[in-house]
Amino acid sequence: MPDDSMSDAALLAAFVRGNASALDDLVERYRLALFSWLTGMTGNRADAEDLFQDIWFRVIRHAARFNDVSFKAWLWKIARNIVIDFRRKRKPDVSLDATEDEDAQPLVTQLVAAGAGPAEAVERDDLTNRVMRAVESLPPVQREVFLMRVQGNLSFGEIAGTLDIPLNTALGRMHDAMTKLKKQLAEEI
Amino acid sequence: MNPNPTCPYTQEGIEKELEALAPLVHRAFERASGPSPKTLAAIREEARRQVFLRGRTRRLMPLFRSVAAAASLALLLAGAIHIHWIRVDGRHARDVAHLLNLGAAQPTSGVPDSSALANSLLDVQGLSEEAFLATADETESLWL
Repeated sequence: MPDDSMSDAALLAAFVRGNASALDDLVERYRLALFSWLTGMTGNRADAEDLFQDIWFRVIRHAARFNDVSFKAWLWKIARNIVIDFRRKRKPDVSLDATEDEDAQPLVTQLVAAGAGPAEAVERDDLTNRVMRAVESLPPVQREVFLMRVQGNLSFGEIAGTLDIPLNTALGRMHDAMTKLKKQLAEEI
Repeated sequence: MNPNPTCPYTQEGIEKELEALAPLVHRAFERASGPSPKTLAAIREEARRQVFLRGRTRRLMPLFRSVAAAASLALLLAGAIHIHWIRVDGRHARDVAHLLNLGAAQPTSGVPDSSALANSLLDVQGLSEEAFLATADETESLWL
């Protein structure tokens, strides 16, 4: 059970001092946010799993060097660097539907298949499909900012710091991403 | 607050628009559900391994420090002894050289002093400095 009273930095410091379960709490705090961001950025659940593990391994190894103001921003900085490395090894831009293996299912199908039951899946299929495809259609720089804000819950200041861009650029990318998404999801909003 | 007056959107405006859009995205991504238990177990295992390694390093650090300090001290001591030996050897060599020089013939020992030679020449000619300065009274007294 995560200790909500402790800050991220305090948990990381506890881990550095030898409390291994403090890191479990940190992983739990960012498990869903980071994983969904990675899923959105890679377009592939299996890749997201690998990258998720790589990110936390890097956090574990470099925990003693942490001296940033925000752990969240530091975590996303590491995550972003790992995603960039991943993209360099693969294609310059990987679509959410794009998979290396032709037999592999696209992310939309993977996510729908991961739903609870058939009835619920049928109900949610359409919406999930449309939202995922809309997010997929965003240019990587806009998708990155959008998912950082929505799924990662990073502030615009943290996003600008993580991406090393001016605040207005982060806002501009978010604005453009939302304009495109609103057009495509007009019926749902 | 709009940080740039020419910017057509504000942070507050974006946040407000996001309120309608975010729940849809959250619902869509809920299906991703999170990493598998296998991945989480691998992270837990790595965390415990690192804690163990750090703990071992921390436990052994005082021993490493003591060994390093002892090694540094031994090195300093060896250096000091070596310098001492060099000095003793140098002094011994100088003593031996001095002794050897004492037995050697002085190249100037057989050559008469130049002032003595000049006095001898003056004596021969009867122009000795002492005779020249002697008074007549002194000569007389000698005769007595």
